[in-house]
Amino acid sequence: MLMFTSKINESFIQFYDTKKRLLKIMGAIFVIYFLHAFFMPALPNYFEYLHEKYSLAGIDNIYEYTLPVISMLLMFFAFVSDYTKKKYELLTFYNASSFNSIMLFRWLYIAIPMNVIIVVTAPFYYRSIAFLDVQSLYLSIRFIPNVLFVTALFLLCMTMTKNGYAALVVTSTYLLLDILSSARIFKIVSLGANSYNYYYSISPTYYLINRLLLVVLSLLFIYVACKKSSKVR
Amino acid sequence: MILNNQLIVENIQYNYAKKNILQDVSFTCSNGIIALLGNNGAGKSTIMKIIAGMMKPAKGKVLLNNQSILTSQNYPIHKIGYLPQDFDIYGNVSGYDFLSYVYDIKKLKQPSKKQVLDELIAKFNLEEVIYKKFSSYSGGYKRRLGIAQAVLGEPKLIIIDEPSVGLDPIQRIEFRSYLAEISRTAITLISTHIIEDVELYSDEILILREQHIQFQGSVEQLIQLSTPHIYSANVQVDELIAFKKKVRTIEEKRISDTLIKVKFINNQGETFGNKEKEISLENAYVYFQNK
Repeated sequence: MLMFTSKINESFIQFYDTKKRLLKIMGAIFVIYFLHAFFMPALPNYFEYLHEKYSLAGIDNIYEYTLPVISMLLMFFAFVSDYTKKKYELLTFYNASSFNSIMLFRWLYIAIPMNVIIVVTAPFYYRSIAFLDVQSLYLSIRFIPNVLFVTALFLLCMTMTKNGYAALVVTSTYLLLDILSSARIFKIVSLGANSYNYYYSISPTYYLINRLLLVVLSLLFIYVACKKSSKVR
Repeated sequence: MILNNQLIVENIQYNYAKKNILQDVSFTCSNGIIALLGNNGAGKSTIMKIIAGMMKPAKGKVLLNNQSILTSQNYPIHKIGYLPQDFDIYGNVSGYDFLSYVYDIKKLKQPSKKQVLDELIAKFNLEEVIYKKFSSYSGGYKRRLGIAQAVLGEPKLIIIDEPSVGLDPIQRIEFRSYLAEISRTAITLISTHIIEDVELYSDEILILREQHIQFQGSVEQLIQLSTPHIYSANVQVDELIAFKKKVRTIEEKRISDTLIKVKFINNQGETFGNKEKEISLENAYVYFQNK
């Protein structure tokens, strides 16, 4: 892609993330999550509770909902001014293709670091259950769909409405309803499959479909958003 | 040697919500300032956006130097400059960082980015503000930066939508001289409803009316076309309202406390008034819109 060449990266990041503020904020979030994982690890008998079909929202929510909420706010911070005073017109002009790869890059610029936070800090958080093995990896990557989905949903809403505030309202409403309903309203497209123990309380298949569906929908949302905001040819 | 570029717009049709906005719009133009005139809502910005690749026409094509720009794999942003009506960028970005971004995204091949940008900054007198945040720029500086990014890389076609909106009279004069300079090497297509903008500098005029290009030619040709139909009469102030009911007025000018000179269109062979000799582009344009 155009902006992945090193020559373009420098000015590209300077334009979309002046003084690397976003990167610094994400760095600070990483440190906070790491410290939290270090000093407040998950319960050692985490799996036993899961087998008993308990909902462990108090333990998992920090990755299940809090990090997606932070990701959504970062997306808002990064994109909100695109649609004020029609800045998007010139940004669209400078995207030469019929797929807005610039928008894809800007999404990845937030989605990747936020998922890195999950992959790096979650194994520390769940270290009393499993550490530096396959199970430890599973425990962390199960939250990746949440960040992908929330950020993709935000981006889709924003490109559809051409308004960052409208996207914030829609995405926040989704998150709020999902949290308040204990993941009952959105069921298969809920974020709370881990917190509300879909794996044991419903079925492993249902849980896997939920995780997979969130990833597929995220990719679909991103594709539609990048097409919609591109040059129309 | 300055190469002459050619833009061909062929049978463009654009519909919105089942409404026909543009119908078989065709024109050809080469280097110089080409002014696209039309009333508000005539579809000027739509044509500009279609040529800039941001709107998809229902049919038709746009060729720049015989290459289709709407159907090629990638829109040739290195050959085309665009300044939208509402030019704005992120407030916390400096002008230099923005130009640097545009240079890279256009994938320009010039050997030294710094040299190219420095020359451009000097050309548009942006030295004073170029490292400051865009949010601190005045309207004039914003417009200068806007045109600087549009001409970066010496594009063959420059599209400028409503160039002088929001500028004060001095800034307008300055902006027109920039346009005159850049148009020597590129097709400079501007859309405007401010006639004053085009009277002095435009090489060619396109008038968009009722979904079509209804006139293409020089300022002089448009004036010649309207000359036989524009009359004037000196009217007493207290008779003005009654007079205006009889004719289609295009200009009024007070010449004394009691007299007003009225220019009007003589379409139906009215016997009063005299043929007007001093016809401005604005008079000719109003005639054309009302004929």
